[in-house]
Amino acid sequence: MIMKANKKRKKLSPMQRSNYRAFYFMMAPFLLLFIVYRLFPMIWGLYISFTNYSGFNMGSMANVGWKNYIRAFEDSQAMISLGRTFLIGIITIPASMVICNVMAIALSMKFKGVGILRTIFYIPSILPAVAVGTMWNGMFLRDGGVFNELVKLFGGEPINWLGYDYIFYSLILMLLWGAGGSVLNNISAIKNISTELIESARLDGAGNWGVIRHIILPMTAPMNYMAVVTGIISTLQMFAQPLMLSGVGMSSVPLQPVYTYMVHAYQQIFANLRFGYGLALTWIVFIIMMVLTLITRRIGDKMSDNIAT
Amino acid sequence: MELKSKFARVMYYVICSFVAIIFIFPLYYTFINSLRDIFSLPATLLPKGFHWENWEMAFTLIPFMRFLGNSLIILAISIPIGIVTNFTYGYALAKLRAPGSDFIFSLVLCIMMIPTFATQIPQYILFSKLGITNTWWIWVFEAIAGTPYIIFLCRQYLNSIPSALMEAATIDGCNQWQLISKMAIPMSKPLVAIVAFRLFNLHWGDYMTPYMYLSREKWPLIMALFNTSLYVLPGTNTRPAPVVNAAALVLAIPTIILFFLCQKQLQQGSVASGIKG
Repeated sequence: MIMKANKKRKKLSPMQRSNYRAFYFMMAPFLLLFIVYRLFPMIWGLYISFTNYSGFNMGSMANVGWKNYIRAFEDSQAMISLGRTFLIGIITIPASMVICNVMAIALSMKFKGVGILRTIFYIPSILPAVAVGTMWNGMFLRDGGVFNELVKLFGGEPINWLGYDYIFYSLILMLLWGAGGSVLNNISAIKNISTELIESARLDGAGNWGVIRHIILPMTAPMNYMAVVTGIISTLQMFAQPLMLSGVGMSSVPLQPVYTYMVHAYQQIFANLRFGYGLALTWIVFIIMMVLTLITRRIGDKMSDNIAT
Repeated sequence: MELKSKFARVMYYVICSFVAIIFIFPLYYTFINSLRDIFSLPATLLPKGFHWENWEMAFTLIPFMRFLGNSLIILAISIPIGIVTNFTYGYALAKLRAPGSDFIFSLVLCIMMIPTFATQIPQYILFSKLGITNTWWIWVFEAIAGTPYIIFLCRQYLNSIPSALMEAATIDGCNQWQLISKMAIPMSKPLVAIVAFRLFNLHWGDYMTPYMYLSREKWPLIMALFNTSLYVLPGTNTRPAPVVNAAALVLAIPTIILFFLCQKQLQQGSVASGIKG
C-alpha cells in the first residue's frame, strides 16, 4: 500500500511533463471537434431517430419512442433491401478476398512488368464510385454494349443487363472489378516475409501450397482482416454505385434488384422527409456493422491461431 | 515465392496478362467509346472514329471551369489542413504517451465504423443552425476534425520510427518542436504523399457532402458527372453517351495520374505501416 502510494505521488520527470503537455496541446483540436462535430451530432441523431422530425417541425417535434425502429422491421422495403445488401456483401467480399489474395501472391514475385500489372489491378479500386458506375453503365448497354457483343459472339440473344432480371449480377461484376483495394498492402506484407523463413519451410518439405497456407496467409492476415472490415462497412453503406450503374441520377430510384439499404434510407430522408425514420435506419445499420466487425475479429483471431499452429 | 519450371513461368505470364487485360478493359472501353460518333452504336474493341469534340462537349455542356474551380477550392482546403492535422494527431498518438492516449486512440478506431449518414444529417442541422451551410467552412471543420483511418495510418507509420532515436535526440537537447521538425517530418516523406493521395481521393470522389451543403453554383466536378449522366442533347431525346464516357474519364484521370506520382511512396508506406502494430 505504502509502496503504491509512493509511486503515485512520485513526481513526473520534466520530459514526461512536457510530453503530456505536448500531447494534449496537439490533440486539443481533435478532441474539441470530436465533441462538437461527431459526438454531439451522433447523440442528436440518436435522439432524432426517436422523434417524428421531418426537417421543418423542430418546434413541434414529438417523441415517438421506439416507433421508428419498430417501423423499420415492419417496412418490407427496408428489410428486403437490407437482405439484398447482405447478399451483395456475402458474394462480393469473399470473392474479392480470393481474387485479391491470389493476385497479391502472383504479383509479389519478381518478374519484368510486374509493377504495371500491380497498377492495373489496383487502380479500379481507387477510382471515384460515380465514375466507375458511369463507365460500367456504358459497358452493359443493351444495344452494342460490350457484354452483349460477347453474348452475341457465343451465339446468344442480347441480354438486358441493366434490366430487372440481370442488373443485380451486373452490379456484382462491377464491384468485383474493384477487388484490388488491399493488393498493395498484401504484396508488401508478402515481400516483408524473410526469405530464410520460406527457405527453411521448403527444407522441411513444404510445397508452394504449404508456404502459402502456413506462411503467407498468416502474415497477410492483418491486411485481410482490415480488407474484410472495410468491405463490410463500404457494402452496407453502398449508395452511389447502384444509382450510377442504373444510369439514374441522385434524385431517382434504381431498379428493385439493386435498391440497397442506404438508398432506401436516403429516400426516406431526402425524398419523403422522414428524418426520424431515416436516422433510425442508419442507426440499425451502424449496430449491424459493429456486430459484424466484432464477429470478423473473433473469426480472424481464431483463424490466425489455427493457421499458425 | 519463385517459379522453377519454364512452363510455370509461361503460364504465369499468360494468366497475369489475361487478368490484366480484363482489368484494364473497362477504362479502355470507356475511352474508345468517348470518341465514337454520338449517334452510332458503341465500339467494342477498336475505336470507331476519333470524335474529340465529345471531350470538348464534356467540358462545355456544363460550366466546367466553375465546377473544376469549386473542386480545387475543396482540395486546396482539405489536403493541406488535413495533412497537418492528421499528421499531428498520428504523431501525438504514436510518440507521446499521456493518460488517456489509449482511450483517444480507441475513439479514433470507433469513429471509423460510424456510417457517414448517421452523423451527416444531424451535422447538417447543426451547420444550418450555425448558418454556415453553402460555405467552405464545412471542409475546414472536416479537415481539422481529422479523418479516422488516415490518423490510424499516420500513427502506424510514425510508430515505426524507433523511440530510442527520439529519446537520444531529447537527451541531446531537442525540444518537442525540434523532434517533429527535424526528425519526424523528414522521416515521413512517403507518409505525407500517402496522406495527400488518400485525402485527394476522399474529396475528389465525395458527392454527398457537396450535395447536402452546397447550392448548385458551388458544386464540385463530381456533382457535374452525377448530372451529365442525365443530360439529353438539346432538341433530341438522345443521351450523349460518349460525352458521359468522356466525363467519367475526366474524373478518373486525375486519380490515376496522382497514383503514378505517389506510387513509390504508397508502396514504401505500406511496408512501414504494415504488420507491426
